[in-house]
Amino acid sequence: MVKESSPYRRAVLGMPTGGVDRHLLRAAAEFARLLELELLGVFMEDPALFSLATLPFARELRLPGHDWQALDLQRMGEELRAAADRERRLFEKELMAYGVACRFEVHRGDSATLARHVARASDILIVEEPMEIDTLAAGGDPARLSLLSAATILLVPRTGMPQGGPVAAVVADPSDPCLRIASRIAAATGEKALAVPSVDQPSTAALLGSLRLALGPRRERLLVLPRQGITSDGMLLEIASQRRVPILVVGTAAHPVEGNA
Amino acid sequence: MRDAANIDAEAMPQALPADKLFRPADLSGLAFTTTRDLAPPPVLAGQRRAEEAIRLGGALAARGFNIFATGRTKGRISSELRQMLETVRPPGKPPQDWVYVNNFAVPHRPTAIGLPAGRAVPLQQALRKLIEDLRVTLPALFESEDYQRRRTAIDEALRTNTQKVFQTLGEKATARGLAIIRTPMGFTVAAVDKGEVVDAEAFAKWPEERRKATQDAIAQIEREMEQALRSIPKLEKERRDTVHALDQETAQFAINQEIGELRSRFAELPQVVDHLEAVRNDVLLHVQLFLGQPEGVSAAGLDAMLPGHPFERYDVNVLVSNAANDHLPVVEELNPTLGNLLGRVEHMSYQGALVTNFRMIKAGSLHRANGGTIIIDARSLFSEPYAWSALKRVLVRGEIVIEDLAHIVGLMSTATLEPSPIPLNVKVILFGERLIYYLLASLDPEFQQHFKILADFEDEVERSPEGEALLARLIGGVAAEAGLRALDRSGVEAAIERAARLSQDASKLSLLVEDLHDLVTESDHRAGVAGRTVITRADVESTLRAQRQRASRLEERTREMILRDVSLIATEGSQVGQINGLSVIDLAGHAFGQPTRITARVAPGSGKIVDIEREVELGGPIHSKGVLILSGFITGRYAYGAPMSLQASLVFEQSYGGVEGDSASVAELCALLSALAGLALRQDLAVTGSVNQHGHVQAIGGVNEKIEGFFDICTSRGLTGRQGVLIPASNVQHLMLRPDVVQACADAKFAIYAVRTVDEAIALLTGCTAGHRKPDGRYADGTVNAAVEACLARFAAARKAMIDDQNARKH
Repeated sequence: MVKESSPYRRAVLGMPTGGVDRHLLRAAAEFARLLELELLGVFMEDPALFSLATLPFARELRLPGHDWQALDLQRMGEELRAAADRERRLFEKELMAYGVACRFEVHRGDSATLARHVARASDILIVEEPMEIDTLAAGGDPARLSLLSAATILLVPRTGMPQGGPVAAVVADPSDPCLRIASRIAAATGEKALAVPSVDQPSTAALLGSLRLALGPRRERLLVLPRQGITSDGMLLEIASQRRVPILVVGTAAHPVEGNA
Repeated sequence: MRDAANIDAEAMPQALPADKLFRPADLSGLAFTTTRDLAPPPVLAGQRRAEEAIRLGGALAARGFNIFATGRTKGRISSELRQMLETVRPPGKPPQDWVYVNNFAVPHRPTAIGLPAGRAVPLQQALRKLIEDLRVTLPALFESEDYQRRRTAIDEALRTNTQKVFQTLGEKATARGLAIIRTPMGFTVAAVDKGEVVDAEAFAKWPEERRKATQDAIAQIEREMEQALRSIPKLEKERRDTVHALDQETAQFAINQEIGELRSRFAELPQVVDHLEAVRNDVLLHVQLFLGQPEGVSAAGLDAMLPGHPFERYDVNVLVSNAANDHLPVVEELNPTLGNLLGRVEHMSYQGALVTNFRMIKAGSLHRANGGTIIIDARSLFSEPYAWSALKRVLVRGEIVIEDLAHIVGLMSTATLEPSPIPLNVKVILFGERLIYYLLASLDPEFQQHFKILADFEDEVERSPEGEALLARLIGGVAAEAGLRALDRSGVEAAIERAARLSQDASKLSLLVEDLHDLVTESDHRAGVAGRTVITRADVESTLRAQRQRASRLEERTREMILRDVSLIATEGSQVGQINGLSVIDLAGHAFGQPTRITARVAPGSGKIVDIEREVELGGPIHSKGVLILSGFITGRYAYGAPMSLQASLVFEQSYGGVEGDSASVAELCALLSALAGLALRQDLAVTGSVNQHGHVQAIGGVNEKIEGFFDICTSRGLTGRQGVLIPASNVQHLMLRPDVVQACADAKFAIYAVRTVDEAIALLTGCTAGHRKPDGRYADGTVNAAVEACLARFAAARKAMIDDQNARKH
């Protein structure tokens, strides 16, 4: 049997300025291993920080101590470099155990730059379910911004990930690429792939209902959704919040995604 | 009153008849062909005194009535004790099982729980099954949609609230031309113009008023941002508490059901019920343990109970299980170290540190024997540091407290446990040699407080027909137990005769089983080599000869020295002041006799008998006492009316080692009397025996070896028919001589003379009667005593003349 070649080459993981979660790193590594992808870690240096640091009254609220400190151009540069180094080390250390090919890069720009320009259509962009605090920063959280990308998106929940279960794919017909990917991941994990019929009028409630119907009380190990079924970033986050499973959003958006990103 | 020594002074002792030299075994009253026909020996054969003591000690439950069994090592006391305790099991149900479980409140003090016999392992299995079930049930429960829905609702509630605050703040900032930006360390607020953060250069170009308004707005947003961020930990804590409550509620359902089933199984055991409640509470508290999947740990099975695994906190450490016992335990501790007795807390290395927990508590022999009996070798116990003190402590406290030797001596500083004590109800039987018992009794004031019962094992049994029959059964039992050939009647008789010889008494039989075992084992081998199906007298005697031969190198060298006249021992002729004494050398269980030349020289002096051995510190105190007794004898018998004016010296010629014992005192006295009387002593006779101040000859030890030692020398040089040995009459009952010695005596080629007084001895040695005082107070002329007294009178006169002369010169 000829092994079907993967449409993906890389998994791209944005390394947040404030530090990456080990849980996300491991989930990304495991996913890259399953699909035999190269994992690219990307640290984004936000140029806005350098602009701001030139202002004499600019200051930052440092966490977790909640103390204020004046911004300084030189220190900002050093701290960004230190943050990038720290994340590179963590990235390499965590990934060593998984035996996946990996690379770490530093780019200038913000999360939107990562989604729009760094991640390509042949990539899978891995993002984590946002924390409340992520909504505070301007420009939106990476999860919402990811939907601006041409890449396939993998949204990883912060907690409650299941240990096993079928790989569910919401599909319109058996030739749906979502099902092919789901089957591939299921084969790699030793689980079953489960086709969940798509709904005519995509909505969060309809999709969740369809999933409950197909899965019963079980939870899926991973959910594969077609991009065209996601009508807003809120819908994706709502599904993620309800199912608490990794969601792979396959395909390129047919129309611009609505949202506050 | 006549001197007792003179009662038979005129009588010349006769050689003992051959039948006095050896007492053959008489099993005529015992019907058997081989030992297979004999009933097995009773437990503790011939040990009635010890048996009664042990039975009493076993029956008395009161504190301190432990037993010290004492006797010779070769008596195999421990195996006898074990056999007795196994045969005569004390009545009673098997004692409790004991387990250690985690003390969830104070983990370094594990809790001991006593359970009815056989319930410990089921409890352990039940707890393991509980955890195994919960590891399946709880994750399933927490992954269920119901739980996830409620959990999501909690998360969403927080998220919505927080997001609302942040979103409002963000919108407020945007409305004022500001943006909140993430920095590597936190957040900052920036002015934004046309979607770009304003830098210093652009800001400087702004009008003053706009700059001030922007800075005020930034300050305002900063304050609100700080406030919003400060509220997050509180909100997060509320969320955690709510989730925790949900987790508890969810878990409680499954846990209560599982624990409830267990509780009903162990309902009659309050301590177990309490522990199950503690387990329930702890599982609820640590329910997350069951939801995660620690790396490298199998999800199912007993792997979860491996050391270091988080689930081992719920395990049960079965310390003692009496499930397989239907009686009270009897435990023999062969290696009574502190740890082996009291149990120990083991440690394992974890990331460079030594760690431990309640599962690493190991039972000691006291735990295993608890409720029954423990047998301990006293010598081994005292060889182990702190073991004796620890044993006394547990007996005083009535409970077992595990003590760590490393901590006692300060060698270990790592954390360890203080397991709760376990009540102790055990009968301790110490066994050891008598020396140990008497030393303990005199040196340790607490000893008799803890060991009130002495079980004194006999080394020998009376040689009656019953005694011989008992020993025959014992010998048969030894052979049967070791899987050896049976002994025929002649073999048993030979073994019994050997037992008498081992006891150094023709009227006793040794009960030292180890010796009999060795004899029968080697005899069995020889019977096999000879192609016999049973062990016969020939095999036993062959064994005895071989045993002697194997150990006789030194004996032969000593004899060779005498035969080559390196060691001067005369076995014919007569000499004044010279006699053959006899001594015994005992090396590693092989004893042999050898003659020693003892000489005496006399001269006028101050009344002192010089013991040269003592002067050069080669003589022991008993030997010195013997020599001093000679002074008493001579003073009492001869020195009437005048101070004794004798200077005498006594020496063991060619003796370069120590001399101890008084068994040569008769020989020394005879040598002294010979020197004083000027009468020669026969050199073809050897003498052994001790003497008192009245001239009575007293019993000595090793009589058989001494006779045989001199006999062997005489035989090597050729028996003349005049050679022989003088022994105390009271030692005749001890004679169990070799067949060749007995035969030589029967053929009048050698003789054994039993003497009761020194007069009898001196008469035999000199050929003159000792003589006794006539009515005029003088000894008859021609007697030994007359000659001695005359010599002493001469010495007294000479000394007086010398003193008078010295006094005259002074004046």
